[in-house]
Amino acid sequence: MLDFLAQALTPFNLTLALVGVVLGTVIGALPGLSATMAVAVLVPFTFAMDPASGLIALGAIYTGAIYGGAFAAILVNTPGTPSAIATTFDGYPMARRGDGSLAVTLATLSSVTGGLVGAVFLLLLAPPLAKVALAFGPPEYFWLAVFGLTLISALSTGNMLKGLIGACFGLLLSMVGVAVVGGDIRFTLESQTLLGGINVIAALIGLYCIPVLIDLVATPDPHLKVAAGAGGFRLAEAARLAWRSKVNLLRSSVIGTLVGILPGAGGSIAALVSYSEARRSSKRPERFGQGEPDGIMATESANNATVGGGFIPTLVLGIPGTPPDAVILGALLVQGIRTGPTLFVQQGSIVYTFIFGLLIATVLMLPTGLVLGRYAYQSIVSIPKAVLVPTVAFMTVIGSYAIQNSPSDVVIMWALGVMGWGLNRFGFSPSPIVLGLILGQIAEQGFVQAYLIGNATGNVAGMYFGRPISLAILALALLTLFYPWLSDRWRRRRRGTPDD
Amino acid sequence: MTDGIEGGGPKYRDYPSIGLAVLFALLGVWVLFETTAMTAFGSIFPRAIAIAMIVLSMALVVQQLRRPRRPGPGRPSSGPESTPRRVALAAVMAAWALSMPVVGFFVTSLLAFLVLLAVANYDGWTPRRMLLYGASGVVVVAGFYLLFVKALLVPVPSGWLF
Repeated sequence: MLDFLAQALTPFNLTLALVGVVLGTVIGALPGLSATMAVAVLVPFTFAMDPASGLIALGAIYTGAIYGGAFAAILVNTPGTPSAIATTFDGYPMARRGDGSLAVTLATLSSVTGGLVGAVFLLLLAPPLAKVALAFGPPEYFWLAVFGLTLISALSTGNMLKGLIGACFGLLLSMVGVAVVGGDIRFTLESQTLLGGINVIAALIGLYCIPVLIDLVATPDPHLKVAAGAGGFRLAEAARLAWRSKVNLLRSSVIGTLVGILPGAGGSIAALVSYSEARRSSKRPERFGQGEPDGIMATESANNATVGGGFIPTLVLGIPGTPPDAVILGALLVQGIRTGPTLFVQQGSIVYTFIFGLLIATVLMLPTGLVLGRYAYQSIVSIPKAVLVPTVAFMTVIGSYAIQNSPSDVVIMWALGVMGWGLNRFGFSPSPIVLGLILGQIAEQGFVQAYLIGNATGNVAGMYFGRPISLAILALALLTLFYPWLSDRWRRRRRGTPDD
Repeated sequence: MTDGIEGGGPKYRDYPSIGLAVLFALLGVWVLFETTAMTAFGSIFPRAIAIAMIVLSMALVVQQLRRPRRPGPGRPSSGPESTPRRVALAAVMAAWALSMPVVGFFVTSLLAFLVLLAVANYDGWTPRRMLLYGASGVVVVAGFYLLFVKALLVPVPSGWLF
């Protein structure tokens, strides 16, 4: 093992890891440029390298891009990548009240922790954990999506009914276009533009960023406050908070790794599930959504843990866990590496050198992230609002266009943004809509496929309620949904007893 | 968080919420109507969600109607906010999105940037500020244009101009 570590520590590999993390972070920070795009754009440069070095570069770009998504989420309320959606919930309120530098440092520490946990799982437990991916069938995916939807109870501050209606609206938006099962053309209003459906990233940019822009121009107030004496990295303060929330960090990192193993689930679901669990187990659940550091720690550790987790099925089974893994799998094939259960034995030197390289890249994310984060924060704070508004507007336009090189996505982004602003004015917050939009396809595909299999085997109910993993996820979903009510009842009952 | 929050004070009847709930219920009805032309597998999920949305929207209407009317002149104002600037921003962005494929990406982006500078500026215009902000617009638009077109090879629409 030490030989592989030494190979990963060569100056060339260290430089690749550093450059990869910096490039990935910058690309991930730009709304509309996803981790998949960052990896895809830079993958041809790795073909001339030896396989381990090429993989280290790609892993570093990937992990940097997932982390970089937090910058835009915290500073301008726009998730740079879909996996940073939940980071906006508490990151932006923290930045608004003057704790932006603390939020960025917390995101950095959490991303490093999550990335390390995911990489350690990849290093030590890849072959047995790969079996988890095979144990997940359509009903498990359906219940996992339902579990993600239970977060609505956390996001519907003020009126649960409005949150649920928003989620239904998001679910319906996710059905626009060609049906995932059956191929029906649905709700396209006879428009060819809508045949491909509503792009999630364009919707995210619109629903989160356009309302912020509309409100920014409405008053002469500064866009972000800077708390007195709150300059610098605030590393010691962030480290104290992270240490205090070590259980949250570890739990979220493990959730991120496990969700990352599931093909197609991805960082956004991992972050949402972790956020939901962090809120459920917090002593201050009411502060979530209003700038609670635990919320940022949960989401950022989980989404970076999916990097290591996603490599587990990619390397062991040849099934990519996340979209960037699919691009990296293609790069592996070009390099002549055959993925599969024997990979760790037959080509151990490449795989273990890569995993150590990923660990090193994750550690390098700490200094580079702190420096880049501080620069990004100071830039956003010092730019006059009159210049910031058109700059962010330009990024929303070019970001939503670049996803599919389609002007229609820009129009959809704008329309959803204006609609989101209007709905938000009357208590229909954008987060449940986004949640429904993201989880809709996974939920529908799992639901219909499970129904098909159940119907063919004559056991529809058994498909949904007779599988142990499904039941465990369902139980967790119910616990998350009813925990606030149950804990309130328990508290009242305890207060009512004479012993207390 | 910018999410809409009803607040912790006394809750009054909110007519815009009732209106929106009715609109969501009508959307649900339209979805149900559309599903009649779909296959069983394509319609089962949207039908379930549409029914849920109609029920929830009606529940919201009932919830709001059970609340007392707000005393005084309706919804409280949210303070000195400029509606014309909000409308201007939304209109400029709509024009930007629609004219981009026709006129060209760079030109529309530069023009929209300059107009939005005017919409977002509250500090008055001095020659120095005009020069500085205008130059920053050119730098930002040209910088991102070159990054996307030359480095990332994103084919942006060229339209009549470029």
